Amino acid sequence: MISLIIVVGLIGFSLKDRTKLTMVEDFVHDSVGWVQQLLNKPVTFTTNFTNNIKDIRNVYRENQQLKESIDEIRQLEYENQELAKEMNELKEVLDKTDSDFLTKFQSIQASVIARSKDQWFKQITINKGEQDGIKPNMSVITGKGMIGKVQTTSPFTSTVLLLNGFDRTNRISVNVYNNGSETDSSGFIVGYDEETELLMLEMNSNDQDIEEGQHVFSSGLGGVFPKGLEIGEIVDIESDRYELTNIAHVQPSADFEHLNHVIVLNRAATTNDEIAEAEAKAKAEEEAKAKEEAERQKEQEESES
Amino acid sequence: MKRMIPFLIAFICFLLVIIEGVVANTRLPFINDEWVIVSHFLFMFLIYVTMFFEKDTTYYAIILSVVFSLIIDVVYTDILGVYLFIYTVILYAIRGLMKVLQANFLIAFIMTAFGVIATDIFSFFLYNIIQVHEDSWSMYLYERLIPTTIWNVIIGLVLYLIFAKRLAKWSYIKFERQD
Repeated sequence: MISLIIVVGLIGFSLKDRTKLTMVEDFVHDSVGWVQQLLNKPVTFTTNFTNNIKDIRNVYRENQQLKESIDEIRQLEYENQELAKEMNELKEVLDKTDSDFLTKFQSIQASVIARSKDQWFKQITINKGEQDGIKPNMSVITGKGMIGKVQTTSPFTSTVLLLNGFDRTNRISVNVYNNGSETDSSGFIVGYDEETELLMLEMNSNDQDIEEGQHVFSSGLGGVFPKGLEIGEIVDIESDRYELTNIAHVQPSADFEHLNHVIVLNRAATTNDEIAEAEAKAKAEEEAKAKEEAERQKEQEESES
Repeated sequence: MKRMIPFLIAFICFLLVIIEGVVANTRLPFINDEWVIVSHFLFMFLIYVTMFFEKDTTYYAIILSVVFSLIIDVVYTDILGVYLFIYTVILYAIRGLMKVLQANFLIAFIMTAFGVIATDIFSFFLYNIIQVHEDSWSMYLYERLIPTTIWNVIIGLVLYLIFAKRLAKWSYIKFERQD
């Protein structure tokens, strides 16, 4: 009976939305993570080895395809250079030296050492923690696109919540890249549909023309994720229950199932709160300085007289 | 040696907890992408500890279950106490059943299958109550329960082959041999 009460208490305690773990949890996470890392090495080695053998079979065909795409890329690169030049010139004309600060971030490389054994928890453990500069809410990507955000951190390991575990409490502000028009349509990723395995994107207004096949990127608004991380591609669009907004289904571009190496992004831009804090601090310092100055002047006056 | 045996068993439990996480992160070649497989290695090992190691007056399996399922809760889930509760309760039930049943291969097989199915269904309902997931029963049955049971029973057989004789021997050394 007592144990039942303890268990219910524990569940209730941990149901709260928390980002900081207790010391005991930190300790367990780190010690288990350390052994996991050791054990993971031979496992990944053998799986990589078998995958390599499979890859070799496809090499010739892929090579042909790649040769074709190289030509396209060359052209793109040329266009890119031209555009970059033009952009710099325009910037000089405008006297705007600051480029879009929302796109700036520092990256931290990490390896996945384990995944939650219960698939209802969409989380993985990575081998970097607070000691490496990782903090909760940083976004996590792979080469293909965004996969999630850091949920909790311990000194040497941290857990990452994958995009398919997101719900309404941690939604992502996104832009839909529109080839024809000048402005991008904006919206929110509000959740994940378990049965179709697609992300649900709620558009901010109804009149925006979104189509299937358009790409979805994070917009950097909302203060958590940097701008310009690829999230996925729209596969179908429908109206919501009240016909007020469009709901699009997005096929994530990253593969959540098989992750080995990830990159954690530290957003360089400060949030509004931090800016306000810094301003308040600066103000306080200024006031203190002014006070000192006034006192000094007073003293001088006194000594003179 | 006599004193070391419980610690040896605890160490094996720790390794199994870690292997559960590592297996979840590797792509198993013969498995359909639709299937969800949840490993209950620790739990199956503890069933064998109950069957072959435990005496009527000792509670090693229960204590180990409390400690290591709490570790599972901390490391692999956000919510503390769910696996702690499920594993320990079902292990206790199996302990009760083993007082009337004999420990042999067939019983071990049935107990493993029963234990895994019971824990998994139990976790389905508990997590449903605290709203971790909102899956329907039929989807859960085909995509998770059946593959999970098959996978765990296969691994359970391997664990049985490795540990059943050893646990019986350790039990003899620990409780009966005079030295």
